[in-house]
Amino acid sequence: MTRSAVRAAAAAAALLAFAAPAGAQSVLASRGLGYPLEPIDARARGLGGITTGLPDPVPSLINPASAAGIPAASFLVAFQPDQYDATGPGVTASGSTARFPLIVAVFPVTPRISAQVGYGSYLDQHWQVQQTDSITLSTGRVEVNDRFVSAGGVSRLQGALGYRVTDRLSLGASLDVLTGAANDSVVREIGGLETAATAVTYAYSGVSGGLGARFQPGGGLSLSAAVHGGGTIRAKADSASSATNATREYTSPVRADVGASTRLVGASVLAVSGSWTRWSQLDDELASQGGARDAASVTAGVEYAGFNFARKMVPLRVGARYAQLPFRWAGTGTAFPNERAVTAGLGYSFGGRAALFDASAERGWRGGGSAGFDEPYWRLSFSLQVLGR
Amino acid sequence: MILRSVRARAALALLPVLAAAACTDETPTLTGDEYFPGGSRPVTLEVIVPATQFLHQLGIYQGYESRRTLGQLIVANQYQGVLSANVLQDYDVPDTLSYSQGGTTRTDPAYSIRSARLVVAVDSFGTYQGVPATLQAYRVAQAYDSTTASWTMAVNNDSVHTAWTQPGGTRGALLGSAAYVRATSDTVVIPLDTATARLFRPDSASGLILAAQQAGTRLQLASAVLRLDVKPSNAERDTTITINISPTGSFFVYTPTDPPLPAGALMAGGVAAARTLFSLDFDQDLPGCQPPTTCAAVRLKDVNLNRVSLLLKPVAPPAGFDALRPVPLTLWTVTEPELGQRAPLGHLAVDPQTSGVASSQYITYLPGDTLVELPLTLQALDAVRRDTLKLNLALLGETPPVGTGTVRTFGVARFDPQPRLRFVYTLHTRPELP
Repeated sequence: MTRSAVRAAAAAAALLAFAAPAGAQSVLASRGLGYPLEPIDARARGLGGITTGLPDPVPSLINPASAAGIPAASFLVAFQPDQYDATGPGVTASGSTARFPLIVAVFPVTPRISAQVGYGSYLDQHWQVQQTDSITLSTGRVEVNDRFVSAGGVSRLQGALGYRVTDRLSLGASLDVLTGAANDSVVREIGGLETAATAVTYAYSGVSGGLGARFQPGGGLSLSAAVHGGGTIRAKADSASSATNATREYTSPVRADVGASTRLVGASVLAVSGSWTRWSQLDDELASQGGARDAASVTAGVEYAGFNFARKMVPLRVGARYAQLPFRWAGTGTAFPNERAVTAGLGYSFGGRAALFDASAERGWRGGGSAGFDEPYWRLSFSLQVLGR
Repeated sequence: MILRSVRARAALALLPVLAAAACTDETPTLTGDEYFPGGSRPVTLEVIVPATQFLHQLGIYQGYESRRTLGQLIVANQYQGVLSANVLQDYDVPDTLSYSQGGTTRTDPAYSIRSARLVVAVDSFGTYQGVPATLQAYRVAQAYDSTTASWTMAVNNDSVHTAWTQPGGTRGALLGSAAYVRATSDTVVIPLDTATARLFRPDSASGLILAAQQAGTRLQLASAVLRLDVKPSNAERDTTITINISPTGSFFVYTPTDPPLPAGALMAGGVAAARTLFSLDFDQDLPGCQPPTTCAAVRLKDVNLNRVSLLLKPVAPPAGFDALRPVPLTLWTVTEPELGQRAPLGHLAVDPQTSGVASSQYITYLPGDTLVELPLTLQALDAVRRDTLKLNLALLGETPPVGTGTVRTFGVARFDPQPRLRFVYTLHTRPELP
């Protein structure tokens, strides 16, 4: 491994400290196993949320074949602020958050083989609920304020190899280690008395694998596909208490992604992708929360690379996405929610393309209809990719 | 990785700034019972356990302080058939009057006293109001030592032991008297003969006794001064000056000497600074559910303690020594209870009491209260955290810090020997995974 690769790895390790989810992106973080998060960068966000299928080699936690053929060691970090307002019967919540959904480093081992290590968001479990009530003591009625706070979620640490079989075909394989924890704390404030607080931390663990392929038959067309899953998501309480469910295992759902891109007239690229996750494998396990369904999504975006600013090319992007969400907001009497979004973004390069900066803005809506809630949101995304040239 | 571009390096340096921006999160907050995960809604219970279950009394002691450090003067006459107390005071009427007139300071050894009275301020809250009271001023007819004098002894030092010929101070001539009428004023003015006032000189070994005339009275005096209207002999014009002379010595003697210590009771405060030592055993089982529902008990150390307090039931104090003023009650930790009366105090164990911006660590027992609650939640939490579930404590009746300068009352607070311990606690929750 070259010296530049070592430095890139060190930088990646230092920034892992920031990779943990910092706050919720939706009230749906309180449902099922949490709100699913995509580990994608700002360029993909600007194209509607393309998960795979872009024509050039890029770091990706979704398709391990995507990085095959990358010319130099590369380090990519994405930063994502969110703002949302949720309304529904019995709920009015708003908030903002910011997170690093993706941190990944790629090292070309040989001209054909690239190694990748990355850390990405998977399931967000940041949320809280509070309720004011009163209890009767010997001194009379006193007010109590109860608050349950869940902080944390599930992330994935991935190691992957990409192999450029031919100039047209690349294959990849990954090993995903599910990690993270959720700290569930309960606080009861009683007027004039000491506050009662209890907390338990559920540590998540699990191992799953992934396979990917990218095929570029020519003519500017690129086809990609990836599949992930297998194994379980294991949640274990941090202390041996009297809890009956100190440990619980959930099926790690299988996810399939396909994507394609092609060059349009001039310097434009059209990219589309679709994904399908078999969350219904958890339907019985999450029956008390309203179950789970398979969730599919489709995304399309166009990138126009013919715009220049300050004598540099500035790619402009627009996109749209429609996604099914796997967990109900309320009980089985309500419909599963969907998510719709339109996006726009741009890119900029520094230092002779040694650093690539991308930014995107996304306006989306979750819920609606008979889902029991409405949640419009804004999501910004910024990513920086540094190439070790 | 080599970043040849300064701009690329600057862009990388922006990442920590972005990370800092990530700290401004607002977590979505839902409201309503239905959103609490199973098992996450807290349950708070209350239980009051009797003393037999947790308390062991180690002893009652007093004598840590005396009348000299009380800061109050007590006058009583067979109060509650038991207590009698007289105040003895010395005054020093100057030989020479010093005064200013027309910007000139003059001295006059030949001034004359036109009128004299003793002005006594009565602390009405520390005075029994059940019977009328008349204060009498007598000449002291026997030499005494103010530091060792008691109800029976005029002098009682290492070498001299001289008893009063009349207990409570041998009385000479009655100098004057006046009634205390609370409705009118808290000040009692006792007229004195001017010739008598002349006798209060440094070379005349004189003093006076303040006593209560009627049986059943008990008065607490805040202060007393000798007020004279004097006429200088060398003034430029007819001049009368009023001067206040504070006593050079002032103390009281009383009988019985100290309040009796009733066996078993809890007692605190008073003129002799009584304190009760006891131990609390927090190694308790508490109900795991609200009665009448039955369920397994939980260990005290396995719950969240919201409030732990000692419930004291006041009972009649020793006759003559009831607290007429509010008694400040404190709890102190005791590290070596086996030393008994000499057991040193540790730190305050009563929860801080806040009132506005002020904070104190004592509970005020008002005479007439039927229940006194001493909260010691923080001390109990500390005991649980340290796993030292047996606490040795001392109940005192004076404001912290202990010693000279504290506020305490002449009367004592006495409580039922069987106090109760009140626990308000919340059971640990274990939120269930979905």
